[in-house]
Amino acid sequence: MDKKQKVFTFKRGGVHPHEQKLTAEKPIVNADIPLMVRIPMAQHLGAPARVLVSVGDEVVEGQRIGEATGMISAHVHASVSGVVTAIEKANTLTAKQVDFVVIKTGGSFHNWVGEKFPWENLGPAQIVSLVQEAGVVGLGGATFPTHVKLSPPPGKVVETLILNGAECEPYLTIDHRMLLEKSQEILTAIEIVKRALPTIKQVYIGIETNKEDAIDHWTNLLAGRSDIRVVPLRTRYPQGGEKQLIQAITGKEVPTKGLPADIGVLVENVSTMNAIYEAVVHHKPLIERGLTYTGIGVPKAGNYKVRIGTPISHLIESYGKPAKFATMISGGPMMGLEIPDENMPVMKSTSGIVFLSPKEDYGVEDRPCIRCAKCLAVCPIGLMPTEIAKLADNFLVEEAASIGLFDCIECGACAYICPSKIPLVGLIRYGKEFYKRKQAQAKK
Amino acid sequence: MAKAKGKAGAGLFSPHIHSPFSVERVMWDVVIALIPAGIASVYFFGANALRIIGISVATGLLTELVMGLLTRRGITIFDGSVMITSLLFAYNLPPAAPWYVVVFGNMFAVALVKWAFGGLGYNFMNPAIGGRLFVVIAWSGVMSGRWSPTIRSLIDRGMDFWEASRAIVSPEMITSASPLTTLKVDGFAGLYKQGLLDYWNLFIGNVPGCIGETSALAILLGVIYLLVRRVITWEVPVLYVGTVALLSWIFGGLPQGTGLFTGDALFHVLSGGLMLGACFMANDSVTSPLSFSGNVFYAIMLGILTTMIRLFGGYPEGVALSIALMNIFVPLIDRYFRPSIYGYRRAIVKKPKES
Repeated sequence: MDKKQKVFTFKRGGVHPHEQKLTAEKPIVNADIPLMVRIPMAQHLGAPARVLVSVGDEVVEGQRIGEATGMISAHVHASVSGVVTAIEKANTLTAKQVDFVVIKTGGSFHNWVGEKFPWENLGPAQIVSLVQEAGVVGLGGATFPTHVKLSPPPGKVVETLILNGAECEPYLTIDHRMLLEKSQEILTAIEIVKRALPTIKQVYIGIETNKEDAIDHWTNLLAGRSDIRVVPLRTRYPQGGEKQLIQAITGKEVPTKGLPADIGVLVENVSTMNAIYEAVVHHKPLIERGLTYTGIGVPKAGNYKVRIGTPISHLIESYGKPAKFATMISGGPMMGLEIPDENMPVMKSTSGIVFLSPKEDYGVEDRPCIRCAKCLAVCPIGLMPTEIAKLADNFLVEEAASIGLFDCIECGACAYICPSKIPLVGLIRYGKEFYKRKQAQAKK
Repeated sequence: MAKAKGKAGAGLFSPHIHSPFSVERVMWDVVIALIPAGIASVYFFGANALRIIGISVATGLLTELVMGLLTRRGITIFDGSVMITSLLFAYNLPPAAPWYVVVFGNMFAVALVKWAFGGLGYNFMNPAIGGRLFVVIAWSGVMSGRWSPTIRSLIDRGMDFWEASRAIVSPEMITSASPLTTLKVDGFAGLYKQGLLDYWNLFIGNVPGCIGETSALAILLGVIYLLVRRVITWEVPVLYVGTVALLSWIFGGLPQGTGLFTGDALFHVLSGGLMLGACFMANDSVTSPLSFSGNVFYAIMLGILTTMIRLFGGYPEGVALSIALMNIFVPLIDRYFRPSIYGYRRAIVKKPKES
């Protein structure tokens, strides 16, 4: 990376946890196919999908087994060929009592990559429908259905496409590897997205400076092009948050309660771009995703391509786990969720499985707030986390909402820095739920 | 934090990692930052300073222990906050302060100002300030009229440390007035006569006053440490001192009848409890506002109040009173001075420059 190159960052706040990118040098490897997959119907933001198969049905890899129900929803596909052995209700990390389709693996595999479909002459609607067909959702963790993003409401003109390769979460390296290994695919995906949204004039690829090889790789790749540009970003959490990334690169702010499309911006994670490429060029549904399997003391830590629905216990059998660990996290340690049960499956949102040692994730004993205002200093949104959390704790959610409860992006910077170790994000999240419940009750 | 916590599912919270920054680290860092002022107090006021600091710390620890057990919060003496209160309270006493003033003052500070409102984090006023105001009212003779000279001149005359320590608190020596009292009573002429208008002595602390507040040098050393360790931010100390300097330069001449813009800003900054108050008490995190703009407002108001009390009020010194008064306004300041939230106003479009 050129030392003189300007480094961009969001305007205020942010923290810098230990990066712990242990697996940055490990290429993406295909994981073993498990004997059985459990595929939940709620893997995306929005309404869960409706089950299309019944017990005893034979399914083939890539077959649609769950149909989207509603505007913001996505299809779900069988990730292996085999027989449906059960349809059961169980909990995922984010939803309670959703349908799981259990498939016993058997039968043949499909060679998706062997077949290339022409896409150069497709119209925007056709591209969007291919993406929708493949059940592509944002793979950064928010899992917003991608086809909805690709078809902005009338009147909104998307002019800027930002590729999110910031990967600001500690430990995770899958986007880093994607940038290095799938650059041609991502470049093609940019052209595909530009066909779907012909108004796009400028493309930026935001990469944090701790991924210098990826910045160099893309700078060389894009030499002489001005329509696509690499933007080095300061290594600072939450640089990869959608709102922060937009602010860092364009200087614009997404209006509160609005969408990036309101200011003409579309942000896609680099892994999502790869999924768009596979959906449009190979007609391959989102049946597997890359993830980082890592942690201190993990025997075979690395970046793996894993079938959706693979039980986490299967990954543990293949790649081992540390002898002693405090928690197993789905996603990164800053925003990820604790996995309470090893039988839970890998989902479209699982960007990583991280084992945290007892030293990192110690029992949080919270103390009274000493009003040190560190949480205000690190909040990238400009909230007063301690005040909002105190109000939420006392169920004064209306007042909390009036000082920005719903503007919180739950990045966790405040709870990370808090010297009293107050679970600020937990309290804020609780306040949000409580507020919504109260509003719903008031309507009745 | 308790009510909602259990319901939100304890243990499942993100983030799962935490910074090494902790309450203990913050508090002990402040204690470390107070050490230079403590050394200066012993250097200038001898064994008396040691005696006052020792009594104050012992009282503070004992009171904290008893209050923690009484309120069933457990043993909280190791978090360092009581050490800060005890040291600051001791630094706010004159070298001749009798033991009962130290004991009851610090008991009042820890038990009533801090614990009666819920302990660490819940006090509405800086405990050391509360304790100081209590002793100023309860033993006003001790606190306002009886200043001792420093031991340095006596040591220069050949006395040893212990002799000099004893000498400065003997009744015949306690006549010396503090620089601010002299200014109040006799004006600048009085200061010149008593040789108190020596900026170097004011800076290093070789003047009569409370044991820990006279040495601006020692206090600055502590503040630089705190700024480097990122325990405090610059707004309150800089703006408080800056406002006092500006206002005392503009209006400082009025009580002497020399007109506007003739005040001695440097003298006002270096004398009295301003440096200690601005650097360690006004910016105590529990009792100062949260937001940047709030802190700016708070610091400027402190400066205005302190200058007004010093120049036109009945007391020679206004730092403690101003801090106590502004502490009470902090919840109100927090309500009206909030940072601007992302997405509420549109920023101007800025594109990356050609590289």
